[in-house]
Amino acid sequence: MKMNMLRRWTLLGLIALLGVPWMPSAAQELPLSRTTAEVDVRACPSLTCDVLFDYPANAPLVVEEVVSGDEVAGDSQWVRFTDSLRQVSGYIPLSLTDDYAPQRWQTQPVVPEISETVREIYQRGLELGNNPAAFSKVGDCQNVSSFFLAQFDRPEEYALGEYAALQGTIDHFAGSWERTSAAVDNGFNVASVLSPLWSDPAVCEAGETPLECEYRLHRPSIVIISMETWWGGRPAEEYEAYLSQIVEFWIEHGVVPILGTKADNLEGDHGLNQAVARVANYYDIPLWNFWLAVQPLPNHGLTVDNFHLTFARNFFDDPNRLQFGWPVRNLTALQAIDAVFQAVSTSDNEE
Amino acid sequence: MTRRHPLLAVLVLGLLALFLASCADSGDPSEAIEAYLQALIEKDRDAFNNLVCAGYEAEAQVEFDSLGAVETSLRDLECERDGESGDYALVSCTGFIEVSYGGENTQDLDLSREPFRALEDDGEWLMCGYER
Repeated sequence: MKMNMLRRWTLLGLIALLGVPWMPSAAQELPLSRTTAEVDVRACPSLTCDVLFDYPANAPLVVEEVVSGDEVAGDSQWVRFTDSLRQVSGYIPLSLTDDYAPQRWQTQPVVPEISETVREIYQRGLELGNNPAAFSKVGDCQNVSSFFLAQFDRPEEYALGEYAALQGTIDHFAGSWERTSAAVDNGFNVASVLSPLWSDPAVCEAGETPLECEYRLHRPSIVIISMETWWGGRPAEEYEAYLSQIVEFWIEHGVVPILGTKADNLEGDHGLNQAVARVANYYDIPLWNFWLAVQPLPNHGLTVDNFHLTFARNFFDDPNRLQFGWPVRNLTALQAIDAVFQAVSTSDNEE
Repeated sequence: MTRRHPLLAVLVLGLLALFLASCADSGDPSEAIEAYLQALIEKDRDAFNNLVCAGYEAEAQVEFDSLGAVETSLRDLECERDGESGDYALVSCTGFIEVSYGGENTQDLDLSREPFRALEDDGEWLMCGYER
């Protein structure tokens, strides 16, 4: 159902007044539309214009402008929007979009804004002796070093392109990117990292949970947490309770937790991502909205099993590679860590 | 003596019976631990909950849930009683929980790392944590 024109222009006017495009680092406006089918995004509102890239069905859009162009399915209106990751504006036929009423978590930005709570946690962590140049990873199969972040310790395995400003953060946390975490393993879920049964006997003490072991070994100042794995039939509230325990552990130890949403929706109702967002909002800690970042990608960055991410190497200067789940995961995780680092560094300098 | 004093014989036998009853072994705590591990890897929550003492329930739930995303089996499990610690019987086990993820064996969890604690409750032995 199409919005009536008065409402559409009112909302567009609000967007224009606020001057907030859909940027990864800016406050997120509500997307107004989403694609109804796989669609070519073009350089201008004409079927003769170059195709910039494709969008899958159900990709949210912040409509910046509605303009006239070639007729598609009886409608000559096109919408202009900006792809936040590619930083490119493009056009798609209005007839291939529909109204979209997202849940609140779906509009939280890919790269979080950093609150005063984060600065407080970080400062307390420094007083506890945490390492300001170390971060840790907590998670399951989508956090193993084979794929997640490790390449940033290997200069030949990545290229930042227009994201060159992130190099400072990469240099600052050198050694943490490819480090094997005691709190990451295939098969982990939110309860596993809280159970000593799972801790690695090669590096962990008897009775230590994987979280305790990782903290003792690395003393990070930041931790990025991403737990995609749960199992069918179990309520999201149980996942949320365990995730809260994980977050409380890190906060108690003065480590800033960054929580990541997941790309998949195997549970069908986005229950786990809702839980992740609730926990992040409750504790006032950063939410890295990875789900939002992959919405514009083919099949939302997922392989045919709708769980694992599509793979390409991490050369961000190649727009084609940014159509795959893993490069987008690594880039936006890096951006989230950078956001926290910049915020606490600014705080340090002001003191 | 018993012929002459049947009442004395009855008294002696009665005292003997009382003594034996007070010393009766209510079962083997190592069997309770093995049953706990079996219920854990079979993901039989009802059986599992019945094998856990009240004081260890919360941690036991974490342990149970921690294996939810993987396939599990036991290999070479052997447990035996191995002393006491206060009210607990200690049980030492050898063997492994084999963990598979996505159809592939990813790791083996060594059950010999820490002795188990068993607590007798109303005549039954229950898993009550680890000796740390």
